Amino acid sequence: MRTFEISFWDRDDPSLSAMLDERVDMLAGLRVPNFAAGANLKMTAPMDELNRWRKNRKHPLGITASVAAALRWALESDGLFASLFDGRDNLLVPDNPSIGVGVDAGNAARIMVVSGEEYSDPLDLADKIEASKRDIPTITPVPFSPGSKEKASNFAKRKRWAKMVKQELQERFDYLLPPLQKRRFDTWASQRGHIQLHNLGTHGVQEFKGLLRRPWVSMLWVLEKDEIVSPGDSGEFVSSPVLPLILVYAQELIPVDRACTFLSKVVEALTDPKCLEDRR
Amino acid sequence: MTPLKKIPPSIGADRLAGWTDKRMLYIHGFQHYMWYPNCCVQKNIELTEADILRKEMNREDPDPGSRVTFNHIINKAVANALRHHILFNSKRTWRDTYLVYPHIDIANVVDVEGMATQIVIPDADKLTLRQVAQLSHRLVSTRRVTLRHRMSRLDNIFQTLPLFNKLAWAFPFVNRVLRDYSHKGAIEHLESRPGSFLVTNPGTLGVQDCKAMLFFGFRMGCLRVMAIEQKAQIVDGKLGFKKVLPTGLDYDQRICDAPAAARLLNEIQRNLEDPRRYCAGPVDEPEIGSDEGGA
Repeated sequence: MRTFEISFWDRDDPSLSAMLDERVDMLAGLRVPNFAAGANLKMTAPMDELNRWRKNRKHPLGITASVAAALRWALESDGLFASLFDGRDNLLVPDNPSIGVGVDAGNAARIMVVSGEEYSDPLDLADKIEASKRDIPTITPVPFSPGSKEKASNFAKRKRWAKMVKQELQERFDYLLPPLQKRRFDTWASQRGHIQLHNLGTHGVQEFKGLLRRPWVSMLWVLEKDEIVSPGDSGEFVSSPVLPLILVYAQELIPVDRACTFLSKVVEALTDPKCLEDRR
Repeated sequence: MTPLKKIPPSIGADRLAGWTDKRMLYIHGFQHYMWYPNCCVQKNIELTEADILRKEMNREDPDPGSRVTFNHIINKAVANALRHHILFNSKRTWRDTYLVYPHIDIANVVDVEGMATQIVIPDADKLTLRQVAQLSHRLVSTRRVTLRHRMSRLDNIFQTLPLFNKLAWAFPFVNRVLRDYSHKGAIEHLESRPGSFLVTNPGTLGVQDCKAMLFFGFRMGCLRVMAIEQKAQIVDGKLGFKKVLPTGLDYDQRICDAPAAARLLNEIQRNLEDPRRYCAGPVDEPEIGSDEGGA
């Protein structure tokens, strides 16, 4: 039997440093000046009609694709939620917002971006997401192992240090110089979409509190379906499935009533999904 | 409108005199540089098996000093789960670096006379459930005595040396300088075992949900346990209820995304829902590199 001994794992450890280097952009974005005042709003959508509709389609849809269609439909009534805001005076409101769908890739979530220009119809977008799910390359996560005694060589350490310093300086200068900031701002939508959708229901998560970083204005999170027990028409108790949704939105930009209206619109589309087809 | 200065003092203001002095060290803990981007994933965990195991173990050994509670089962479940998710058993240092602790030490928040304090169960993953319970009881009763003594000593210092309070903000910085520039300070810092993961149970006070800054930026996660709920369900057409424990994992978004946190929470759930298999039995040393229950 081997003992459970782990060394202090730090940035000089090759496997951990590889993982952390991948998150450098995330760490930079998560510094305090980049936080948005993110508020969390929760609503549940009844799933009876949704389940019937998505399974009876010619191409059945999963939950994520169905919610993406409802989200795209709701964005037509209020595009502010798919805008990008850098916290100063740049607010980009697209005509056809791209939706970024979170995909679990081990240690970090990857975003699959579905272009709003190509898939402006909610159902086309949902079909595209459903079809692309199988095409997403599986990224092998860095294995969590009980520490490694192996240390990076001095050359590798210096090389990594130089790379990180360069990235950090780049971020600082980008932030200071408006043209560079604008160039960076322009690439955000293509990298992560105008609005992001994440489905934590696959992990069984029943409640969530998220945060928001600039330039995104809102994100939608789907949780695990819940069963609500209520008295039925004949007096007996019946159980009905509901889908909890959490909208994280920038409170400094969007008033709460507008956020409620938007989320109700998503819920409305999920409650009666035929409205997505009627639109055609 | 009543001018501000004419508002009468609140009831019990005399008892609150000196309260901010006592809290000063905590207040300085909330400085800007200690903030972190915290997210939280939460789920309901069934407690039926844990309840049966708890009652059985208490029947075997009714001694109050070794009585097993839900808290102890939760601590043991968390320690077991952290074996496979050791990144959450780490601390954040300056310059975006993480140190993974070589031991799994579970810190528990204990409410003593209105002042939250912590006890640490060292190597909780290597202890049996009964040992966790015994150690926890002993530490809590000891802490009640020592904390009272410490607080009264702190009161005396505040009264005799008013300057002490004014300089409280400097303590974290002094610690940091000592750690960074003194070899002895660095060794002491590495050897200190302040509890690598935090478990807090506001559910004992009846709290049903809580979203707050529960741990400072030097830990990577905190398990938050809420009050037990009765959840309605329909089984074979009949209305029934099951006991569930709403359990949330607060984590630092800088270290991982939500799915990785959800996996840790799922493993805690697996341990709690089958405690006889994972928590009560003898302590196994995990094989290095084994895939069982890995991330």
